[in-house]
Amino acid sequence: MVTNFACLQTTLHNFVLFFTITFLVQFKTHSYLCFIKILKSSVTLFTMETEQKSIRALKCEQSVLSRADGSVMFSQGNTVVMASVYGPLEAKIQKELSDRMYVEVNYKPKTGMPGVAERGKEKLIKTTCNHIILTNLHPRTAVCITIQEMQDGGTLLSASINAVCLALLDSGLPLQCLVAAVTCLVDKKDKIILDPCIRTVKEGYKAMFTFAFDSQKYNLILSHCEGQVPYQLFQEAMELCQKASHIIFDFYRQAVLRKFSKELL
Amino acid sequence: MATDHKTLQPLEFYKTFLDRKSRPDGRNLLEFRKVTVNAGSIGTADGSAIVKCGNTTVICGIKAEIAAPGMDEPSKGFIIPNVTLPPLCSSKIKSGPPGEAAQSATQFIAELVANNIILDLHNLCIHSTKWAWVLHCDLVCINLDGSLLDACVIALITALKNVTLPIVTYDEELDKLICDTDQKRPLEGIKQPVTSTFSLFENGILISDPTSEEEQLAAGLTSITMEGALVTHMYKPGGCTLDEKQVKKLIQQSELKAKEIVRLIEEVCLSSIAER
Repeated sequence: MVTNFACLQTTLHNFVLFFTITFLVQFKTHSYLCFIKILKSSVTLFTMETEQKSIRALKCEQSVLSRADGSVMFSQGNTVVMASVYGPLEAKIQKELSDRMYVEVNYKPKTGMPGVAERGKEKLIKTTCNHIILTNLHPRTAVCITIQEMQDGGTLLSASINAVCLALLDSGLPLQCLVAAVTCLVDKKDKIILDPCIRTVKEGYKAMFTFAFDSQKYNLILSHCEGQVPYQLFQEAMELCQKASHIIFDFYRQAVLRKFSKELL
Repeated sequence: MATDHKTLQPLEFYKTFLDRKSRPDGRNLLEFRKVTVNAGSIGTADGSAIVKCGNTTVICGIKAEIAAPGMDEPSKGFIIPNVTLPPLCSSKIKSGPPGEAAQSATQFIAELVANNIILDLHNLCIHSTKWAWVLHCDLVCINLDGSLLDACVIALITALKNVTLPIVTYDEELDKLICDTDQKRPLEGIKQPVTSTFSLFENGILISDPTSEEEQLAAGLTSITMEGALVTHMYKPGGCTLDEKQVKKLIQQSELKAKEIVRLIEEVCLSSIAER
């Protein structure tokens, strides 16, 4: 689907270029201005389309903190979060579990103290981590994961989960699988927008979904919804996010490749 | 013999049941527990309900007060949910400040409210920018045996339907509120979301309406909120994975449950109105 679209885009682009040249030769000044307008409108149309079908640019820097076992600064478009992993550590006596590792997650908002909303996020991230970390390999220990929100660009929950996954990879803790979270939004016209930016979120929506998938069978690990839609649309949104999660898994691979190639050099 | 097996190897004990597609309490895998609802049992509250799902018991009391609406949403009232898990409800809950379970349940209900799934908050407005109703919804669990969210949502909806508020008008010229306590009327525009909780086991087995024992042994939990055929909320905080077929199955099951519960709530509300 995406490649088809890219093909179409390039052919259209060539066509537009060809058109420009012929146009420029034929009518020099007057229609040139007119054509610029057409070109501009077509460009905006394209960016809008790509915004819906794909996710925003992903960037990360691993091992940003010197004292943590694993850390990452992760950005997804304008959303920036920092995650750190300390562990396996000695667990507090009341938190100690005899058969597996205790996972502690702290979510720090940009300003102020964490409240009930942050507790909710922490729980989501914690249970996700409990699934992906092979916790039974380290009984009676704890791992401490801290997420610091740096900039809110619309999809904090999914960015935090992705950042935590990269930080876990960086720390070298044995994992069962990787996890990739994608947010999508159903706007008031029932159109699904993938990875919405903060402006789109603030314009209002019918529903917003965050889904996280595992890297083995791309099954659902986490789901979080706001708003209500018929099941059909819910399913479409989930499928779209599932496809988009592949992009994030590819990004993880590249990030790890880059990190280790640097270390070898 | 069976009790020894249960205490020593709880998961294995459970799996022998699951392999035979049944559960220790005699239910089928996708069977829900019996739900009992009672509305209007607390005289001092503006609206109340007691809900029992199996052994899980939740009391909801609603107290209404009048306050100035928020600056950003001047024509909306407030619903402030608060789920309390006192130490008496389960041996796993310690006394002290609210624990993670209570906080995440509160957050879940608050999210439903924020997404207009419970009630359109515009109905709580008395006069735009000046006065609006604030409904403090206190949900107290007195017996915690799994599927807390299911019971909380049923209790909240029934209690909201049970709320009667005095007719209040705002006199703009005198800048005064006029309250007529003799006449009371029920709230309008309450929606009918129903939450169904499922437990997932590692070998792809799904069970509905888990008890707290089952919740502890399971590899994951999912709570699906439906309003009729609309998926209003699917809350799956990590844990074991689900594929698309399983998601579909769960949604079908919760749709069936939603229908039954909605009928039950309506019946209860009708009878409580008749009593008044």
